[in-house]
Amino acid sequence: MKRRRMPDMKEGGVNVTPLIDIVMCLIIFYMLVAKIGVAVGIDQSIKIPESIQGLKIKDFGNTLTLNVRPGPMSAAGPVPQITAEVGGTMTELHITGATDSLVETLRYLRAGDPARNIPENRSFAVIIQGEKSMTFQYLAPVLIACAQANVHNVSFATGIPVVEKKP
Amino acid sequence: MKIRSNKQIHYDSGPNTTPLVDIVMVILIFFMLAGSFGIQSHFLVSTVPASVKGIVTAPPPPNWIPPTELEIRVETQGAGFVATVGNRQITDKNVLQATLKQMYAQFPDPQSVEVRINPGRDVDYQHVIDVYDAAVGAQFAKIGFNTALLYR
Repeated sequence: MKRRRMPDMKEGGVNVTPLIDIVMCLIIFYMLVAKIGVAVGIDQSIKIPESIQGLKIKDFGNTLTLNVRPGPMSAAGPVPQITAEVGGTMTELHITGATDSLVETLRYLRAGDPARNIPENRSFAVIIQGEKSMTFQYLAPVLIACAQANVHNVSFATGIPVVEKKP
Repeated sequence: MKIRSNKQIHYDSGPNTTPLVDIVMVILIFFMLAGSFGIQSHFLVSTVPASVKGIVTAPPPPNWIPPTELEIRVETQGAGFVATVGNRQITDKNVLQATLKQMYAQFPDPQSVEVRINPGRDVDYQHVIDVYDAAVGAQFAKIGFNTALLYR
């Protein structure tokens, strides 16, 4: 009887199955966790103050982030430089002004504006991304504008303090 | 001339996964570069509007009882700050938090107390946040700002 021989096993190269498994897991992880294209108008160049007690905000849908920097000193007082992403575009808002004033912007975002097709938003909140080196006189006009626009929910973006390692 | 036979050994052991690995790697690198896990993770939240003289945001409801207020005046002192709570002057954030904790325990209904931070115009924003942080650490729920010192 003629005995048949088993064919030789020939490896075609490196086994990439574990690599594909891990890479697929990583892709699924990034797809679920990563936020791509989510822009809420935060100016990352602003150095924010640090705080220990802080909360997480999960939903940025009802918020407007105000980037506040110290500006020039005018005859009327200190003028903060405020930028915010309003209607998808980064806009400079002014404490005093006819069309682009901070109060008016906050007012129509909070109370709604039929002309702009913006409904009333009772849970509207403001996040202040302020430069930590500025003094309170630049922050106060922003807080006053929020009070004038009936925005009661104001949050202050802060960083987590870096703990220095002991030698 | 020697003619090669068709009985050469083929080294294929399955489907060619090289294009799959290429594409998957590109997608992975894209996600790693473009993705961000947290936009901002740390916020001090205030639900108390700034108290400004002359501004009335909404008329108070009937039978409204004004809340108990605890005022913290903050002034600049050198590179730091001095916070005045009652008749105590405190320059350290941790001492301020401990003092506020003691005061919190003495209020009959501490959750209804409104802490009003009243900073001077030259107080650094970082120091304002330090005072705010101390008040949050002392478990006070309602913390807001007063601008009275600003227009002295």
